[in-house]
Amino acid sequence: MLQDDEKYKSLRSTLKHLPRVKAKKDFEARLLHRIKAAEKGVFESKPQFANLSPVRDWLANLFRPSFAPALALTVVLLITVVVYFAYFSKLGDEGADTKQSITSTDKGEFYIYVKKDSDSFSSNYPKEYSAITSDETGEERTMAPTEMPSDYLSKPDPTRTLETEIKPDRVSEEQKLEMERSVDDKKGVETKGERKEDDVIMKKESKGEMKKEGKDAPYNVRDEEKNVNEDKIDGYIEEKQEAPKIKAEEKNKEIDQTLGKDTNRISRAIKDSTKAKTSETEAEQEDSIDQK
Amino acid sequence: MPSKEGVELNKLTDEELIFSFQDGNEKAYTEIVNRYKDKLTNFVYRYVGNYDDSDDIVQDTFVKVYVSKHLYKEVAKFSTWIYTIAINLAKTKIIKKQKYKTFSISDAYDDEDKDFDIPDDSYTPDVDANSKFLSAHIQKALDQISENYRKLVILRDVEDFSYEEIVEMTGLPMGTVKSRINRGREKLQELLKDIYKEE
Repeated sequence: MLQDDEKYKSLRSTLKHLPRVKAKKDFEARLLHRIKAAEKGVFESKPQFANLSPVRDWLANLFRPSFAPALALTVVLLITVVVYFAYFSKLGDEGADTKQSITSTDKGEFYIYVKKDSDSFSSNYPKEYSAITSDETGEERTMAPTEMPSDYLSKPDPTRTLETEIKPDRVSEEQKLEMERSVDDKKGVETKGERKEDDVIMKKESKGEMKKEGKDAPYNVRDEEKNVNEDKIDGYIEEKQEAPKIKAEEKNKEIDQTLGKDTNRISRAIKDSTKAKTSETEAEQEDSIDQK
Repeated sequence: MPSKEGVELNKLTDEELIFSFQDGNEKAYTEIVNRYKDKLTNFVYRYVGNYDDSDDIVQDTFVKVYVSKHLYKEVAKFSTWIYTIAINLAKTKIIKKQKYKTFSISDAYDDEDKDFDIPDDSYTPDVDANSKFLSAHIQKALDQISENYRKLVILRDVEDFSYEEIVEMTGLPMGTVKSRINRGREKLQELLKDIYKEE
């Protein structure tokens, strides 16, 4: 330590003999002024409402300017919470009107009394709460059926039968057709030859779809072409249908000519057979068109 | 001629004066100011390098002593306590100054020809005209070394405090204080080579 001081002896002496800087002449006066200012500041920093009552003091502390943002935020949050709960409690009440509220089952078992379809109203009323005893009615007193939360798996009450009601607006076209058919069967009218019911339904559906397409689909060139093709097919069918008829008539004429009027009966039989043949060919043609 | 009470105050130690001031004797405070105003001004001026700033810092130091008189306890010397206050205030001032240094007026206006009324910082109240140059030169060298070294070198070599007192003031370990003082001296000697050649 002393060695270091001796090492820098010259430097130390230089620094030690540096001219001393003195304070300014008015140092004390300025210091006094500063001290007074500091004292004022110290007293000013203390709250100025010392003489106020405790309540006013508390209010003054609460509503001090530095607390304004916090107070504003608190008020806004409170309003938000109140509005939120008020609005949703209203919604909850509306829901409660339509729903049956089931409270907790802490109060005991939950009973459901099933209404029986019977003539007497008294049997529907729970006997536990009936003013008439079983002795008076002569009936055996039975306990009300209990239902546990897991009873939804149990079988339904056999006394009550569920009948499905088909509402008219929900009846499909298939069901309509079935209903119509059942009506026709009752009347004894055959709807269509030897064909199966499914085929008819399919056909009807396809026709319905075609109709729908015709109505709903916008005007198209392809549709026009389709129509033209359909016309052509119809014309071809008509020609094909007429051709065997003409042939049959010609054959009849030939037979008449050959056998004369006495053979009318035979000719009629032949006619019938030719007619049957033509009907068969017609049916075949129709099938082929449908397949196309 | 000083009064009886004044004579008694002159005889009191620093610690006795501050205790007297704590008891409400305002004259004890005045005595403390008279004892330390020049010492502190010299120290702070060497430390900060600006006379106005040093005056301001010393004033603040005495205000602090006046307001916080009750905080002094007899665990350390009064001189240590008051110098510690002055060092802390000077540090704060230096940090503030360093922050303001980043802003330059000429950069802001970008007009080199324009003149500004900037107060003259080169003013030093050194009485002796011959030592004015030497004092300015040493002060320039002191300003160039690190603030940590400068403070300790001034406390040890200018104000002539003991190592123990410096340790108390700064709160640094003895080894750190010694090493820093030596490094500070080394650097200062390098900067003041010209003066030593002349000598």
